[in-house]
Amino acid sequence: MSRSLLVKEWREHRAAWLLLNLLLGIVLFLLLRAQKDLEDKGSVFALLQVPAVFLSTVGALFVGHRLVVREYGQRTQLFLEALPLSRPLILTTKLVLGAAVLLLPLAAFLLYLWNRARAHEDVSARFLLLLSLRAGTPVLLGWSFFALAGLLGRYRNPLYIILFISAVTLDHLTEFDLFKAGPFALLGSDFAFERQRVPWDDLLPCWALIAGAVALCFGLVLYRDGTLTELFSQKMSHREKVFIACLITGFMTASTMLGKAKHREPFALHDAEQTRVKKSAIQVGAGVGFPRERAQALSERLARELLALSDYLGLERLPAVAVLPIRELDADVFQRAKLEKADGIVVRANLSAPDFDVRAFEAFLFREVLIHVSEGVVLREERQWLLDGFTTWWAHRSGQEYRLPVRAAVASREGFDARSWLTTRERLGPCLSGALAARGVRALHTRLGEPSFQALMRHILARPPGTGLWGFWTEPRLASLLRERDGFSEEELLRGWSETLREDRETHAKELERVAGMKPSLSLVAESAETFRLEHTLQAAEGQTRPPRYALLHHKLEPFENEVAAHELSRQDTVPSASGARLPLGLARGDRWLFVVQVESETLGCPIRLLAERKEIR
Amino acid sequence: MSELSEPLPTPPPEAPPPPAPQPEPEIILRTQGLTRAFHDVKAVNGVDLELRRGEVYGFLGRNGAGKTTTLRMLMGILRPDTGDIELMGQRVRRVGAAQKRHLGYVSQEQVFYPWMTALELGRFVSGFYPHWDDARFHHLLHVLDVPKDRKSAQLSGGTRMKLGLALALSHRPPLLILDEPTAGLDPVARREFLDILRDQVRREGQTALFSSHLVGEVEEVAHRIGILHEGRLRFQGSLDTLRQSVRRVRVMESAPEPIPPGLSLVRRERLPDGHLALVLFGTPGDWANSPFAPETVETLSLENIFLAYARRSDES
Repeated sequence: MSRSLLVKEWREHRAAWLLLNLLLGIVLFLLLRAQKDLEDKGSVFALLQVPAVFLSTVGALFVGHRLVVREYGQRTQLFLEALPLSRPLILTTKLVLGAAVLLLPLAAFLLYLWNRARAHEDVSARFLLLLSLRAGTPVLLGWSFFALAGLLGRYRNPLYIILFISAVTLDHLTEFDLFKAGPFALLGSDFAFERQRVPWDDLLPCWALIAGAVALCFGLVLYRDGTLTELFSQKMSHREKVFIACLITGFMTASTMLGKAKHREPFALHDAEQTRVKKSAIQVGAGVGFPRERAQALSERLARELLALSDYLGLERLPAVAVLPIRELDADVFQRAKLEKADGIVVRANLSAPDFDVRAFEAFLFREVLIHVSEGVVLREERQWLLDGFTTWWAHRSGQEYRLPVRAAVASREGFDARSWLTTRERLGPCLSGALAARGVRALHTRLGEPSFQALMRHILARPPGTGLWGFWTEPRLASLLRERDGFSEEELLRGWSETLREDRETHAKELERVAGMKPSLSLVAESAETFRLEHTLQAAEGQTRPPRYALLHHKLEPFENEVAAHELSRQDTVPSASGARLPLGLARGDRWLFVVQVESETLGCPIRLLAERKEIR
Repeated sequence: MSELSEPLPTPPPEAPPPPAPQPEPEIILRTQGLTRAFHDVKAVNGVDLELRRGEVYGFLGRNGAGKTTTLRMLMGILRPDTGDIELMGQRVRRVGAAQKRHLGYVSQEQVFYPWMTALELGRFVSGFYPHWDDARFHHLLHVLDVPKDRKSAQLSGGTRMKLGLALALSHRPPLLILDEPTAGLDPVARREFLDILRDQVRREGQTALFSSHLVGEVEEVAHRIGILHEGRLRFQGSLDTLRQSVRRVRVMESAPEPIPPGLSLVRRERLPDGHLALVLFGTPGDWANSPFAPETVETLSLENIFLAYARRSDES
């Protein structure tokens, strides 16, 4: 390595590198502050993943840009080449310096974590070596890749795009799970916990890739005396830009046209009662308080209902369904498991709870089936109310919808916006929002008549999803469908829906009055400069009786967190009192929380959310 | 190299007594069959250069003649496809870092780090040369009137070229290679640059290989020249030899005489009056023995000689 070149690089890039490290330091500092109880959560070394991911992506890209792209972009490599320096020496200096710049902060943070952890846990040298290998290898891989890309000059950005599309396509089309291999696996969930096994299967491919990238770097720099890299560093001509744009567009189109989901085996729940419908198994597990006979009966019922749904909507296939009885869940909370390697729907519910509502469960299950069949297309917000409404309406169809009007009346007491359905659903909860939407579906059914309504539902909820981007662009919008198929505007639909709701509210005015008489309140009280506590009360209006208890549901919101599912909410059951109650949690300044106050209603048969509020703690 | 570019015989002395034997000039750089192709195009084709210590060697050629490629090979930036380079007695296939420490190089285009000042550039470059003379660098900056603390991006083209010269001279290289250093400079800057170059070379006893496509400036500073055309060295020797050896002859187009032995054709040109103009190369002795009437032979300016060489393939 050349000392003079090292000094030059340091002088040229020190400010940028200090800035990069400062940024990383701030992120780590905030993370450390936010997770004061790291030791209780498992291992402090889990935090090492953050700088490893940052340095192997953003850091490596940044250093590659500074060390390689700038040098060739400004053509100052010509100046270096005229000095008594060989090209391999120039490249070696840059590669080693880049690696050092990226690995040093990682090593420093590892030392800090080690220092912090050794008071609590036994940190062996082997474990430290494993952590170093698992964190350092992805960083070196990222660096070698971005150094190589830097040498490709004007072709690096198209390369990034093409590689990204290829990776996503590969993951989508094949069994090979790219995002669980190599560097992704090294930084996987067992990162901070695997203390013995050296992950050779993931390390060796990474090292081979690093060696390959470094060899290519040298090849590029030395090929034809560096004239190739010099050529690459020049700006793209207009013709080249057009060609690259066409190439990328073609590549994207081809990958989306090929968008066939990878085949996975249907999920099999062992030792479960099952009924087959349309070649799929509806499996229900038995458990404590939920004997085999009931499991079999539920399995048959669900199979029957799913077949009916399938026939009505013309579904070509049904997914395998598995239902697990979990006694720890609330009766109105249903969970869907995420399947990594199998196909189908696995849901969990407290099937043995006395107040388990099978129709609510069916509505939930139908919703998940339609999401699965449409590959998520029905989740687009403009049609989500239709999905919620249809599945609730369908579950309550055979004259069993007597509670839907009162639920809808309560749900619509403060108005609603069908176009911001996610907000509406968070404010009302799944039960009331389902009823509200079901009344809209009923209004639509009444307006269109059975044949048209069925055809519309088939088109919107059951049509196989379009393929990739093409499918997205050609996906018809609800408003245009209504207008084109039935000569019916969305405004007319909303008017009809509102009219139905108005009638519901008139019919159930007494219940509305009772709900209106309940006054929940939340207040934040500072405990220190940085922490707060939440106090909450539920008062009743004069002449009204307070409910025997209410629940405060709460959930800390992550950045960019969208919808919070019902099962993600923690719950504090409280007996209303004049002095109010306190949430037994310290709330840190700057955090964002979702708070919901809800009461159970026997009349409605589901909880009423009296208040739902996203709050920033300050 | 064609027959014209073979080392030229020195004109034989006639009447005067033989002079005292001169010591053989030391050859500081010699190339043999230097060749480099880019794809199918031979940019440099079998060039045999010879530079003597203490001389300024003017390397003349049109744009694209192969001058820069030759100089980049001499600087080790490009590797010759074939041929050898002998630098200060050391024969190498490719000039490496060790040899480059004895070379000063001013390229056609000065690509400095834009954020560095002249002083910072000097500090950076000094790390690569064991014989770097910082006092000389400061002196050269002063003499060349280069602002020391201004970033290189803010310097004019002429000042950047002077800075390049200061950087190239400050480690006192025995051989200075300048690749069209005056291209793009205004007349005043060009004059200053040439004066400084001539002065430095004379004072320090350095050797300079100076490429250009401007005959006038080469004539002004060079002791010997080489003319490169389409990758081939067409002539190498002193300016005087060139002037004495190349002449133009007017002959009748209808009855062209054969070219006498000893003379070789450089260029043939058809004149509007029905005559042919032949530019021929030969030693003064060959010219003396030629059958041409004296009134049909004329000497040429260096520029016209260069044109005759450079345009030979166009119209001959």
